[in-house]
Amino acid sequence: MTQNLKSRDISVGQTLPERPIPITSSLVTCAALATRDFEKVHHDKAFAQSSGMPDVYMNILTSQGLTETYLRDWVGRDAVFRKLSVRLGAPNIPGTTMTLRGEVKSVEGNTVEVEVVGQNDKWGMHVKALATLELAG
Amino acid sequence: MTTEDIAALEAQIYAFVGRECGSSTAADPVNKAMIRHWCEVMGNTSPDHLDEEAAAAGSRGELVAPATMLFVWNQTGYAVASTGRPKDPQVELIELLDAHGYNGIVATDTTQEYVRELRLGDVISQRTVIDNISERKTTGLGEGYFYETVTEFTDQNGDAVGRQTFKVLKFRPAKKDQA
Repeated sequence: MTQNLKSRDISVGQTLPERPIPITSSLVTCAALATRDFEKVHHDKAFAQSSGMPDVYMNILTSQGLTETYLRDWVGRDAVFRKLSVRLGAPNIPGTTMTLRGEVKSVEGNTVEVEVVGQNDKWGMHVKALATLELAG
Repeated sequence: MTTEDIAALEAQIYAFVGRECGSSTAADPVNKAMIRHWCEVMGNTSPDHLDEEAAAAGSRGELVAPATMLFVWNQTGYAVASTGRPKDPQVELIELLDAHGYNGIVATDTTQEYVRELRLGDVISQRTVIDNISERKTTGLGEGYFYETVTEFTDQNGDAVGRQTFKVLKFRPAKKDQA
């Protein structure tokens, strides 16, 4: 995690370092359980296939959690999350890689808006998020 | 479906707007173990989530939960896999649309707003209502209806701590129509 960013360190258009995340059965299933999401499509491959998917797939709470962690590592420990809007797209299926990228969209006082896009290398855009963070004064 | 069939179905589905579903008080208060288990998988290393002593010395003065754990505290648990979700109006709405061929389902948008960070010992209650259902739409997946739930989260004093909107598309898979 970096030092706490201040608003003077942040400008519109600034990009965050890319973060590729390998999507594995372990990540999909263990993260579903860590978010207490017991829907079978996230841990039972045969069930997921019976619903038309090739394999188990990542749950939304994990997409949000990975986005939060990516932003936390960039902004530092003190900033407070105020809002996270998420548009959902293609599924995250084991055997693929999702790369997170971020770009600062606005800076007003201590309030920063950052867009995060998670691009799956086989299936396309998995998630497009807009986060509102409040920096420590 | 004939125009009359569609009108009859829509009369039934729009009656779900405003109905409450899935309200609960968390079985466990906000706690270090669940936070640590979440952080392990997400790769989150913030001392403000993991180390009470370091958090006490930090800007917050205490340990807090990650923001996006907001929806985790009130999850139903293993029963979802073993016996299925308990029936509530949202489940009934889904089953009604399934029965009319709108059996595809995909979540499209969700927004969480955080009033304050959650602290150890907070007991979170949630109340969810079906807030709105769209008119029939043509989408890339097929024709269908978007419905949106709104969940309000409160603490042990009844004070608001967060809010979530969640939008779902229930659709008639396009391929099936052509078959």
